[in-house]
Amino acid sequence: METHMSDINECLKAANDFKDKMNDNLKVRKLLKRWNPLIHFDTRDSDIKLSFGMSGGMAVSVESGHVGNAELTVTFPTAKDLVDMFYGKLDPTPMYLSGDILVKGHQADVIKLDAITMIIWPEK
Amino acid sequence: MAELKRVLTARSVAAAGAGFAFAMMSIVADVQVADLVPGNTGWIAVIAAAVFCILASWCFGELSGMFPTSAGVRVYIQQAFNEKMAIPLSAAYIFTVVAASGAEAYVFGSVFVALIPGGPSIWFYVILGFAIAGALNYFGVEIASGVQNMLAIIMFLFLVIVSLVALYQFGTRFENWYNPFAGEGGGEGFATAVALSVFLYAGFEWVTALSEETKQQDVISRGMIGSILILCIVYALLNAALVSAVPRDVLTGREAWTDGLLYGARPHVVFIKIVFGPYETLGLIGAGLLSFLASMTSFNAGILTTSRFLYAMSRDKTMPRYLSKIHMEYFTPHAAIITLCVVALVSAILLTMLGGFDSFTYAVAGAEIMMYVLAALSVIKLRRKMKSRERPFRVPLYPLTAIFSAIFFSLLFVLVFADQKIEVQTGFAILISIIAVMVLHTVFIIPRLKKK
Repeated sequence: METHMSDINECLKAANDFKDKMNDNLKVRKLLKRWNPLIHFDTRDSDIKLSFGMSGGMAVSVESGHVGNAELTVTFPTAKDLVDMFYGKLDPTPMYLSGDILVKGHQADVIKLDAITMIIWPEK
Repeated sequence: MAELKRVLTARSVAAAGAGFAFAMMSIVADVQVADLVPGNTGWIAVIAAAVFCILASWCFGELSGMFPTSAGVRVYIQQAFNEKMAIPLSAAYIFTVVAASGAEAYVFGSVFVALIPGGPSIWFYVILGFAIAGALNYFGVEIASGVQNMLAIIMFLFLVIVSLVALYQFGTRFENWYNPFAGEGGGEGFATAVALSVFLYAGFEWVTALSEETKQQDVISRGMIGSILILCIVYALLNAALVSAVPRDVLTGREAWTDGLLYGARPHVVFIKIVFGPYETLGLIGAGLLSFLASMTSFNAGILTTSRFLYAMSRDKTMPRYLSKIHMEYFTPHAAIITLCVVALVSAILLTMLGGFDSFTYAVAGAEIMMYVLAALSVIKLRRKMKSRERPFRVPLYPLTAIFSAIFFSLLFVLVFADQKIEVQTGFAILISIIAVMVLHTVFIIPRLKKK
C-alpha cells in the first residue's frame, strides 16, 4: 500500500473543490445549518486520510490525516473512487448499497452526507 | 488514533434488538405456540427456536462483519448472489414487516378498547399509534439509547415478574410440562410450534443495520445473542404462565371470559386481570403502559429502519424518485416515512374490516425464516467467493453450522406452510403476494426507473 505525495495532493485538491461546491450551494447551506460534524475519509488501497470539518452549514476545513474525534468515518475502496466522488464523477449511493463504501457513524448522519451529494449533483 | 464520537455498546445493541422484536403481536403468537402443543410444553418450543435463532445470528454476525452497512440483508444477498435476487427478496422482507405493523396496530387498538370500555373506537388508537410513530420519525426525534435501554428493562421486568407470580399461583394446573410429543400428532404440532416461535424473535437481526454505529464488530454479534436470550427468557416464562393462569380457549379467543368478552387479540389483558385479582386496576394500568411502550417501540423502530431502506433504494433508482426526498428542516426521509405509515395504515384498515390478524404472524415468520435461509446460504457462498475478505466474526464450527442452519430453516419453512389451516394459508398468500409484487417491480419497473 504505497501512497505518493501526488495522490494526497490530488485528494486534497478534489476535497477542496467539493468544499467550495458545498459552500456555493445555498440549499446545502440551509439544510446543514445545524449540522457541525467532523468527517474522516480514508481508502483501502492507500494510506490517504482526510479530515473534513463542517460548521453552521459551511465546510470549514479540509486537512490531511485524521484529526480529532469524528462523527463519521467513510472508507472508499480506492483513492481514485474518493477523488471521483469529490469531483461528482462517481455516485456513491450504489457503492454504499453494494457494501463497497463503508461508513461508521450515526445512521441519521449517513443520510445527511448522502443528501449533500444528491443536492450538489441532482442528476447523479 | 482518531476515534468516533458516538458508539453503541453490546448492551445497547441487545436492548435495541429485543425492543425491535418485542410487540403485542408476539404475545398473541406466544399463545398460538402454546395452542399447538399438549399440556404446558410451549416453553420448550420457545427455547428450541432460540437455539436455532442463535445459529442464524452467527450467520448474520459474519455477514454484518464483512459488510457493516445499514443496507444489511440487501448487501449480503447482492454480494453472495446478485442484484436481481437481492432487490425483490429484501424489499419483500421489509414490506412484510411493514404490513405486519398493521396487525400490531390492530392488537394495540383492541387492547385499549378492552381497557377503556365506552372509550374511543379501535380506529382512534390505530391512527394514534401511527401518528405518534410517524411524527417521531418525521421530525427526527430520537429516543436516546439510554432511554431505550430503560424502557426495555422495565417491559421485561414487568413481564418476568408477572409470569413468575402467575406460575407461583397457578403452576400446578398441568401434569405435562416436559413432553411436547405426547398425544396424537404431537411431533408435527411441536415442529410447527418451533417454527411459529421464530416469530417471537423476528427482528433480532435488524440490529445489523446498527453496525455502522459500533466500533468493534463483535458488539453486533454479542448484541444479537443477548437480545435472543432476553426474549427467550421472557417468552418461555410468559408462555408457561399464560397457559397456567388462563383457560386455553379463552386465550385463543375461542371462548369468552366470564365478563363476556373475547380476548383472542389481547390475551395479556385477561391474563393480567386473573393474576392481579383484587388489584386488577393496577395490573391493567401496567398492561396499558406495557402495550403502549411495546407497540410504540416496535412501530418506531420499524418505520425508522424501513424508511431509511426505502430511501436508499430510491437513491439507487430501484424505487420511485419521490421516496428519496429529504425534509429541509428536520433532515429526515419524510416521503418514505409518510408512504410507509400509509401502507401500514391501509394494512390495519383491511385487517380491522376483514379480520384474520393472526395470518400476519405466519407471514412474518415465513419472511424471517426465508431470510435466515438466505443468510446461511450467503455465508457459504461468500466463504468461497470472497476468501480474503476480512471477517471480524466467523461462524463457529463452519461449515456444519451454516449448512445445518440452511437445511433446518428450509424444512421449517415447508413445514409451517404445509399446514392447511386458513390463517396459515392466508399468511402464505400474503407473503407470496408481496414477493410476487416485488419481483414484478424488479422486472418491469426498475429498468424504467434506471433509464430516467
